[in-house]
Amino acid sequence: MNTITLSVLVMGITGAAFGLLLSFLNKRLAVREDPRVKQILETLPGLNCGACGFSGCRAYAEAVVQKPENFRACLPGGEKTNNGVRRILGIRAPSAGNEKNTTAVCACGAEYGEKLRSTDYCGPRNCAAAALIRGYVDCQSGCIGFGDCVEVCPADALTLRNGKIHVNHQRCISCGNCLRTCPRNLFRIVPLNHAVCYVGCNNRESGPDTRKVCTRGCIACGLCARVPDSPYSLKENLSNLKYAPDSASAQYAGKEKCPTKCIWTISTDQT
Amino acid sequence: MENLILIFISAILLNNIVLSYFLGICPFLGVSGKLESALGMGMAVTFVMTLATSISWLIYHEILLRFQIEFLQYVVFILVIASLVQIVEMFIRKFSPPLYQSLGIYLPLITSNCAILGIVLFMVAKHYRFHEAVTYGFSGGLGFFLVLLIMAGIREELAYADVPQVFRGAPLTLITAGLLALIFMGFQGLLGT
Repeated sequence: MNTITLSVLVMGITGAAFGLLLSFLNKRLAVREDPRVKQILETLPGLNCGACGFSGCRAYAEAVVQKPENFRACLPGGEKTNNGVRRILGIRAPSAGNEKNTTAVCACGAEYGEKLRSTDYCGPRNCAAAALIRGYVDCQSGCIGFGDCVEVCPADALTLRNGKIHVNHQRCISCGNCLRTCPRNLFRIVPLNHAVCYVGCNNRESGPDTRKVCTRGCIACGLCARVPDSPYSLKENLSNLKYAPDSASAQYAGKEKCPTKCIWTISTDQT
Repeated sequence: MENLILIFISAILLNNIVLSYFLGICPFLGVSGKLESALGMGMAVTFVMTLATSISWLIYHEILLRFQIEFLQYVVFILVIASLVQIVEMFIRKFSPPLYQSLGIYLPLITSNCAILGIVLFMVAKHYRFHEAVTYGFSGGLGFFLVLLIMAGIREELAYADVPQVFRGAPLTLITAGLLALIFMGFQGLLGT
């Protein structure tokens, strides 16, 4: 027998032997996974945003199959997904209220030009780096405008135009990534069913000091707090909006009064 | 017997597979973050190494040498190692899911762990007899295990240390590995010349 046939034979036989052993063991040692995990995983949106508190969709699916008490409303999935998960698990829907009805807003509505930039910045083009050296804009609480939040948004809901963040409220899944990323803590999660407006300023300096760095900032004049049944109040030199039920018209009235137009309506800044 | 003890000590301390031959660096750096996963990885590697050397020895001497087709040794050894790793993976997945989770990608990567192929090839090059080969494989695995444990212990403690920003993470790990290798060089004089 020549070397080639011999080699082929030896390789073939050893390969086949190990292959058979492996397939035999594969059958014997098969791990049975709960089929519901896979079903739930298919129902979930698969964004791995972590808004439910688990490290990803898979971790959530495994946890919720093991213990139905682990059920958390999936914010990106909305009602359809959550009802699907409930159906797979066989649990009843709780009273409504924790489904997708929130959105993120950015508490700095000023564009470049409105917020002053008196320094030149040539460091890394991201907010985290710029925030270390007190930022690119003169306002120490405003949006720096390099869009770190845009990059971490899994739903593509944020856009940056001329230094202002625009939130697409239909797309926003309220995962909170932008809240954690923004070095100036500008993002808030607001309830969509009660919120019509939001205060687009985060500057807690007094009115004149705010005025020095931004023409769009809240100067704490208190006009918004003086409309009838106003949901606004002044807190730390900043207009503070409390989202109470049935306050929509009062929210709007307060917005109309604002001399610097730093109160924004949620519907109009959709992109 | 003396011979076996010599092989045992030399494979663990003198010619440690990681710190003298610099094989198996990938899991050495990758899985040494936590003591628990290092323990599992070390056991898995030791097990695979022992089995791989014994089976490879049998195949090499009973089949390859007999038919004079030693040139097939690389392919056959890789086949043996890959199959063994698959088997170990199945066992761990079945009997210890947490360990399976913590080993993660590194478990299938034992397949391509050069330390194992290295030990098997050294075993062939040194013309060991069967019991010597098995001892060599086992102690080679233990050597890997030992170094992995030391490294994981150090790194767990280092996690609490106040390290300058530039050294955090990989740089510090590599420096630690270098210092460990230096220390293991000290064992060279252990058995005389």
